[in-house]
Amino acid sequence: MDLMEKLSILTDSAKYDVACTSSGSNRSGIKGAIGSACLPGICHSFAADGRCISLLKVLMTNICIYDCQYCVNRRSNDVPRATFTPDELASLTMEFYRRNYIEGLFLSSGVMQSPDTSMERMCRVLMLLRTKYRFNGYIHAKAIPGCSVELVQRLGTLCDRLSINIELPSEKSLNILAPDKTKENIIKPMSIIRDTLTQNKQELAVYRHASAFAPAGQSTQMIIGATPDTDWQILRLSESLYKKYSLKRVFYSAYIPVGNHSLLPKDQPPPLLREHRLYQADWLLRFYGFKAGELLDDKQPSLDPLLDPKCNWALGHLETFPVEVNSADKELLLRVPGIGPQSAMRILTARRAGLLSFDDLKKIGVVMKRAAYFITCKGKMFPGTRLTHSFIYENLTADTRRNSKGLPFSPETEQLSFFSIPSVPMLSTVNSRGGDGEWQKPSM
Amino acid sequence: MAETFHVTNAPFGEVVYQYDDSFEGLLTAVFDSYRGKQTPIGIVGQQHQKRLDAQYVNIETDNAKAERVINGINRVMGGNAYEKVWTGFLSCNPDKGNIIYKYIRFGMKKGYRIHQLLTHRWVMDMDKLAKPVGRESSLMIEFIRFSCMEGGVYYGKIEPENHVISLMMPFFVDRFNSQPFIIHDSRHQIAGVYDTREWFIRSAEGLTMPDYSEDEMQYRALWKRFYNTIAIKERINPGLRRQHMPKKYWRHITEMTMTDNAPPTALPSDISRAQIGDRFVRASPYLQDRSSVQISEEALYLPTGGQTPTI
Repeated sequence: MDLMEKLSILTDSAKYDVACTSSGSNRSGIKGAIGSACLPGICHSFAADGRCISLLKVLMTNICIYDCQYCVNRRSNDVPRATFTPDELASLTMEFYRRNYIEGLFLSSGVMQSPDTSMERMCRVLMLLRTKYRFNGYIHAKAIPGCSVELVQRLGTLCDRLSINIELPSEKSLNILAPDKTKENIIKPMSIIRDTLTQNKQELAVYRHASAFAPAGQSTQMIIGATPDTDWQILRLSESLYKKYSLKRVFYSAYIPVGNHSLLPKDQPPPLLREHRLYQADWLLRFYGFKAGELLDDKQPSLDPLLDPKCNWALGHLETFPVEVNSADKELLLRVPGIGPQSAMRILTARRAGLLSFDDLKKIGVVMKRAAYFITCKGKMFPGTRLTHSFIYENLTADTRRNSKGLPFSPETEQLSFFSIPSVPMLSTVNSRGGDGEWQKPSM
Repeated sequence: MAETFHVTNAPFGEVVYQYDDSFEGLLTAVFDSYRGKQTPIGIVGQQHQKRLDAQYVNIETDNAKAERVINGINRVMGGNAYEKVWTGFLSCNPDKGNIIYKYIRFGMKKGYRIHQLLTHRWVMDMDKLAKPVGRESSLMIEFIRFSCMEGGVYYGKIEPENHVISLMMPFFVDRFNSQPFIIHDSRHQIAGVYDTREWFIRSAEGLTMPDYSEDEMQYRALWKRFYNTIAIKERINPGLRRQHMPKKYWRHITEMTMTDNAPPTALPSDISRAQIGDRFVRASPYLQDRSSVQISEEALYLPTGGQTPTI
């Protein structure tokens, strides 16, 4: 089998893995070696599905003794199988890297004879890259559930990010769909990585030349929509993973029908919107100081498809608003829809030089389309807005509702129309009539 | 805030400074305006279409004066401001002279506080000038594709709107420090060259390159295959791809131009067969890079075949 064919097979088997980030490591080049790592990560290309290509994402082998029903590489599935030799894969990575196609290697593997066999082979590739080829770029490696402690620790010293897939959001689902994997098998290496990371941090503080263990931390991923687990369960799980195992990222992957188990959904489009909402909620957990319990609860277990989770939270907590932009603290600013960590910082900086107006906020980069309903500037609300649930809900969801019904008019035609004036005054119309002039006034 | 000048309402006979398109020239103009206690209504480069009602003053570039302005910016406004001025200067915006002048004058009055005045017009103008340059430079770092040429030199071609090469070079020099490479900006006809010892920026007039190396086409085909396989059919989303990877850059991105397995039939038009050791001339005023790289006689030659990176 030639390299081209192998690459096709092993890329095809790896494409459902989500994580393709090269973030978290910051390392400058070493004289005589090739490669560096950049803290925010670098995407080098974007595939036809719009997902970024940062790393060469392949499996070591797609031969697998496990029979996980959601996985395309399960042993009962009749697909072509292939295995890279360590040298093949290492030199391919180098050639791609030298041409600036990729930022590094993402290496996962099927289970060949035992988890340890596959892991050892992965270690060999990474070892080759790091020593023979002197590759100093980014490597993301997947540990295989059930492998030995020593191999996890060895892999960790060779790669930047280490991850173990938690696969499904609940133990029950895991038992049904992945009979060969157990919760302990997954959680155990996770806690080993966490403990080694903490230990390594101390070592690095004491000994300058201690070798770094997975400097970009660990991450995990789970499949969304293959099992009946709710968003509430998923989000609670993510929250505890971030807290207990100090993960850097949890990735969500909309299930694409590849299996034929009776319990798996068939002929359904992948739940992309749900995946998107979960990512939004995930960001709220990590960067905005939200807790899972604030976004969802037992009574409302799934995220609203019409509204993003932050707007949804704000609508449920109107007593918090309006927020005075010129005096609110950072935590409160971050609660306002349309203000993110970056614009919050910029507000804090800019208001030291003078009071901010709505016009200033727009210049700073606040998304006024959402923020306008929830803030005051110098004590005044945005002209034409009302702080009521129905008004804000109507306005925030106007575009989405119109599109989902497939009505054939765009915002432009709506402004001209005499007969389709909505029951609630739309912000766009208020604006075009001129408001009370606050918006138009130049800031100078 | 009183405006010191405004180009459109300038009274008849006002002064316009014209500099020689170099960074030092622009800073000399700034210096002269301070020294002469004169407020020009504009600072323009050589491409400027002259106005009939204005009086043009030719600025003679003086590195000592430029250095004093640089020190002044660093001392009064801080290093961030200087970075911004430099990045903004690399822009292709024809109005950059005025924007930078206003920003420096305003900043010399305000000091460090200029970094808080995010909504001030001149600060915003400066941001709008500098930000796209930084953004384009990171896009180019993402999307530039190198080809291995005979002799082991890696060649990458880009067509950016701004002069981003000098922002890209330090990144790749750090990353590929044992690999000689050339970044060729075919729009502005300049090239960044790294020969594994030092880097410099040259005019690309008459740049000639060797043939592609033997296995170049094979790796392009492998990469193209990887690119086509990694996409998930059920999630195809061309709009999202275009958003992240603007179509105007596709021309020089390997996986977007080449059909699977088929090597391009001809070399890019402006690279003809090579004479290694071709000598470049120092021409464009944009080439004066800040990094005080000493260009030795030796470095003026392209790396020769003997310098294949060893693995």
